[in-house]
Amino acid sequence: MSALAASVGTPSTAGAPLIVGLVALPMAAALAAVLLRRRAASAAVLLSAPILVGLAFAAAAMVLSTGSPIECVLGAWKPPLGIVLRADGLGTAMMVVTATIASAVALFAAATERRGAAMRGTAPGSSLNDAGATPGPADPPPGDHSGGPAEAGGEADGGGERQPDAAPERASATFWVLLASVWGALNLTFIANDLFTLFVALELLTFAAVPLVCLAGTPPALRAALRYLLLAMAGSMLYLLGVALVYGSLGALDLSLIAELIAPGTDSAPRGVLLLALVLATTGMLVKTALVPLHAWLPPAHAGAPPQASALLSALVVKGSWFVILRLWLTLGEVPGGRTVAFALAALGAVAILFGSATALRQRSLKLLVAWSTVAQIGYLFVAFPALVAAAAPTLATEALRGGMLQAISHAFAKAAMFLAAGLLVERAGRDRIDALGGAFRRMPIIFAAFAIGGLSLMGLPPSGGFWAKWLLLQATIGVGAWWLALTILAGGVLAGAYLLRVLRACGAEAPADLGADRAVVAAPAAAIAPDRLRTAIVLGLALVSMFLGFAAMVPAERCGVRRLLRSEPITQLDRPIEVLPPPSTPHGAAEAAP
Amino acid sequence: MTSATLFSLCSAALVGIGLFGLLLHQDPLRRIVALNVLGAGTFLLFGAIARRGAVDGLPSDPVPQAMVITGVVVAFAGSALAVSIVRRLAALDALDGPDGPDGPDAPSSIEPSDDAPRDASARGSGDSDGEVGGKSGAGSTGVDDAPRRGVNGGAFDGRPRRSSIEPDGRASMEGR
Repeated sequence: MSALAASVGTPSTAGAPLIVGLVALPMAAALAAVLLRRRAASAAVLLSAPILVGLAFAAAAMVLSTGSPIECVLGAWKPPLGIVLRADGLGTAMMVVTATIASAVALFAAATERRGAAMRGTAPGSSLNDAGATPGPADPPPGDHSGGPAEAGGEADGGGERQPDAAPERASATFWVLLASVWGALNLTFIANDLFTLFVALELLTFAAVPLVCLAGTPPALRAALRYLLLAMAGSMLYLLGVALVYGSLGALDLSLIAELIAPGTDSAPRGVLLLALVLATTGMLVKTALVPLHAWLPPAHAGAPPQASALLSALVVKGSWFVILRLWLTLGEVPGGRTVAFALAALGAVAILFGSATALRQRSLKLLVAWSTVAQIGYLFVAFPALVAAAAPTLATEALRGGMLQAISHAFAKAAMFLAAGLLVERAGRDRIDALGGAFRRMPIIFAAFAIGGLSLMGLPPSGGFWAKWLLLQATIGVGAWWLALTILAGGVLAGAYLLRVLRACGAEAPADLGADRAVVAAPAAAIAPDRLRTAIVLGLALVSMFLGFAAMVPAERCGVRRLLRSEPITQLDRPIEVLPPPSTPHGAAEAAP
Repeated sequence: MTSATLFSLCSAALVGIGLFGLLLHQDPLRRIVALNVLGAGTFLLFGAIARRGAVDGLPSDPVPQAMVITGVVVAFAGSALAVSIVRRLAALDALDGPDGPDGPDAPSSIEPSDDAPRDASARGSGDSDGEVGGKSGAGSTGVDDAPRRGVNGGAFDGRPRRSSIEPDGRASMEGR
């Protein structure tokens, strides 16, 4: 590839239609889903899913091969006044992850819908279900989850007879609208290159995520959604306050422009105000990311939603606001005092790891356990920050960035798999209690395995993506001399192992004799017990991706331009050979550090 | 003291009041109002910055003003969404009796297509409230929920629960 020779600083506009499509198409699908009725709504999203996956991979390949970010200058207005969308390596990697997980979740939701429809379609009370009533989508071969949306889109149209049922129809249409909106909002977050577009993207994301929490319609879910909404709005306002301060002191919103204005040597910028702005904006985003003192909204919100919504929220939505924090810190992180704040963030992350894991250990509900594990895993995302702003050590910063991104991505896959698996386990057990899971190992071994594999990635066992993420983070934290952070990372792995073992042991136990799980299984209609190969394959596929990310994830250090983040590799390419921790041999990074 | 400084100080005060209200009040409506006060403070800061950025000929810098318009729209949409959720909750509580802060008991149903109304739009306590009542019972565990579920669920939607979805079907089985 001539990519390495290409100059890093000249963005290309050739791929502009790609990144515009990545935002416009999901939004169009969301609008179409609003206007169309239920089955057409799911078809609109399912049909756009493979296109979006293709666009995301194409954008990633383009960034990779040209070695420069894709830019789109909206309306040909240049930055001081206009808006530029810019897809760099980080953004395209996240877009690929979003596309893969969102289409897997879409397939899962379509299969769930078909099962529900099949069960409604059969005569009520009949426990004998003929083969025709069992859902058709069991046909696609297991294993491939990202390439499948196209055929599922077709299948969703050919579903069995459904009884007219207004409420489920509206509910289902709502889910498809929200899925497409979350997708589009995330893509916009990943390619926004100015502070205000980031704000708009995050608001879109919040307004799509809150109804996802409401989806169950129960009072606890609504309360969780209300709390989430109020906190998220407060966070937005704090972020906006930070944006106002940045604009007031620099007169610029574009991140590249800001980076130029505060580059070392230009003494005009008022650093104190910028630090305040950074702290305010970061605090606002922390509320949405649910880092520990601000985490209280997350477990009820994520655990109370239906599994496909939980998977979206836990795997992707929290990563959106984290990504904004990352962008902010990569741009503004080196203002004086930023290092102290970065250490404070990492300390909060450490508390999150320990507290979240310990609380997960005490949960009785499976979905709450998975949600608390999200609280813990979010902590890892912030452990990287002290090394990230270590201006003197660009290799460390590269490692921290890579570790953080890898953690975000592998957690996204693992958590999506675990929430979907938890949904299936709970559906089968009849209630959301860990001690009601007895016999799950015998009854649904593949789901059990998928949950376990996702858990191994959270624990950080090789060769999972989580292992490499934690390994990189360990190196980064030791590099900045924060041994206490390194110890926390290790302790977090042990605690994760403990709470996962609890679930696995409960699954392996014999089915309890008391009423509850056993009776529920006996009583469940046969359609619920019928093989569910599509959903099983999706869950297993996601779990396997999180496990084998480790083989793919090593981004060559010299290609991960930390300083202005012009590129990095899409981390999800599975065909890359493993490269064990490339030695920190990047004078390149040092050269870049001094523009 | 220039007007920009004065407005900035006012905005700081408003932000403080808003945060204070948001953190100290439990009542959702008060928190929504506090949120709007916080938003007003933020928008006022944009106004002050716009005034400060006035250059020759222009009375103020148009960019912050453009941002304020977007911000106001977002704050309005957020408030509307929040109020609609509050109304929905009030309708459910009136139906079910106060549920109490029964915490994050995840519903055992995972079927989005059958849980009742999930769009956050505030609808009157009309068509599908019965189903929601049924669901709120399904979230908690234990047999003692079964009677309540039966009463609420059966009373409102006028079709056998068994025909609905698996968790409800099982619920009626448990009740037997």
